[in-house]
Amino acid sequence: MTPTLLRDLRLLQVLVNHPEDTDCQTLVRHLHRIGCRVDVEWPPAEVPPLWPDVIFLMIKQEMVAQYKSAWAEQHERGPALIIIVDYEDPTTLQTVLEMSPNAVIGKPIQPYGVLANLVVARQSKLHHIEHHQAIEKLERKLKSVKLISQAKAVLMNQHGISEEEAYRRLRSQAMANRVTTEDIAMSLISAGNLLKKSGLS
Amino acid sequence: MGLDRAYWNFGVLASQTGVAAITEQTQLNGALLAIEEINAKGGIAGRPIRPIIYDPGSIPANFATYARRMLADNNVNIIFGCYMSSQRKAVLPIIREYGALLCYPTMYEGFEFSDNVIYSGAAPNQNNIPMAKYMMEHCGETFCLVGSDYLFPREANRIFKETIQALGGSVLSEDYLPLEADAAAVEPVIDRLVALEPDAIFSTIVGDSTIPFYRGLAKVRAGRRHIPVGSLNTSEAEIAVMGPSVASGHLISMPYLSPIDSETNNRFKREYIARFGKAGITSCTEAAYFQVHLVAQAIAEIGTDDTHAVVRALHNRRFGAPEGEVWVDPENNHTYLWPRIAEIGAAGELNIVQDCVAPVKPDPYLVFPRDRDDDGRHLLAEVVS
Repeated sequence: MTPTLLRDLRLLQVLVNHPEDTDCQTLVRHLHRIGCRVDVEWPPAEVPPLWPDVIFLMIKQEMVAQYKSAWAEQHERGPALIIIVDYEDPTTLQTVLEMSPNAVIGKPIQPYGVLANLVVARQSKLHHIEHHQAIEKLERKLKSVKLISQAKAVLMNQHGISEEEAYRRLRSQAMANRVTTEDIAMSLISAGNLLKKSGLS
Repeated sequence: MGLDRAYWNFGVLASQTGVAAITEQTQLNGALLAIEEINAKGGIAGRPIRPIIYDPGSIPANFATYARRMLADNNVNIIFGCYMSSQRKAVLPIIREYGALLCYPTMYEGFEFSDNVIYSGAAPNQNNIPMAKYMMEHCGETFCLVGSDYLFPREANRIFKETIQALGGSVLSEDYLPLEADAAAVEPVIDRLVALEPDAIFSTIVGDSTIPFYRGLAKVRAGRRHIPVGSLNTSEAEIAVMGPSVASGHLISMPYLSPIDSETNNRFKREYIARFGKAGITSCTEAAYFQVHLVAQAIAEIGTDDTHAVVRALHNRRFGAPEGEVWVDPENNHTYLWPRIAEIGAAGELNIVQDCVAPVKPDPYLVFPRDRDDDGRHLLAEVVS
């Protein structure tokens, strides 16, 4: 089965941020051949819009300072970013790196390579989003593991029970109250802290 | 053009030897026939066309070498020819380096565009998708796919498979053979396919191994149900070589088929046979023929063979080709063509089983047939108004 990234090419909304010249024409015509829907805008918005699937952005050193930081921090769910460069000097490349694009194409723009960069940029963006989500999930998980082990320690101390037994009690409390084990652990710890603070424990 | 004011030099790159010679020879013939017709009428703006011909022996590297020689040493700016994609890809950088024009007369897998190339063979939406649709309607729902092992067959099989699956059919197997596969290499694959009992086979075998494939299939046919083979490239030249007993009952999908009954085509066939002594006209022959005519008309109008001027003059220029009126789409430099399907008859003759009412717009960047439309008409690109 042809991968989704290739199958949905004709559903893509593409924004081309490039001055309207022959390079721009070459790019837009080729995107039309591929079957994408294309809008052209110049100069680029100071904050990148969220509606396109992919943005082609031409970097102009004298303008980029205005929008660089907003574009570099673009929304996690925002468009895949393909930067168009006409120079490869270290100053330009530093700007490119700061903006973390998903692909880069050079000028003069030619049809060869546009399609490949388009699909690779979308894949890279999707991976980026997936990785971001995976990291968030792991962070949550780590937090919950920490909470539960803290709560277990409290119970083990108070009641002189084994770790397994402490966990079993947390679990059954959570089930009885229809909340998560983390929630029970959290209440236990905060109650413990409160008692400690008030001198009651 | 440059220094040589007495002639228009047209390069022709078509192999007369090697694995693809059977078909490429007919491309050369098509181009030569058109050149001779034009010269018989006084050439272009009073100057005759001089064909510059090399035999690259079906080898991609030779195509590159001879393309460079034509452009660098032979005062050529426009080259007609290339058959396999590997040959075209080898020539492309040289065409670009010299700012020249390649007129490519062969159907291919799509996904290419160059300002320096005119593509006049079928794009996948003009041969492959109509074939998949026809075979689903008339042959059954289970298919085996077989092809030569290079880019075109793999991409053509991908599109065919996607279309078949979108229409509710299924693919039982997919096999690839080396380009130079002989009978001994082909037969085990045939045994495997036949054992799977598919309703039909889709073959993208290209070149010399086409013949042993159909022969091998005919050998195991005795006493069994006939398994039709659909192909986009098995040509009339190859059918003539394999003979009617082997070829009959199989299907081909091409814009040009020799039985097309029109005055233009009848004259074309007459002149071709008078000039080359035998038939065996292929879709590539016809495309090479009309490309030369289209380019000659463009040059006649603008008075130069400068690449970009010729390409501009070609866009939307109509020509009454043997298959019907054709023109180059300004959007993608591919050509509006007439998709047709023929079944090979008992005497080896072609019977057109699906004709075309209007030329179909080329769509070389079609990834997946369903994304055109959802109401059943999606599998053929929209017909021009």
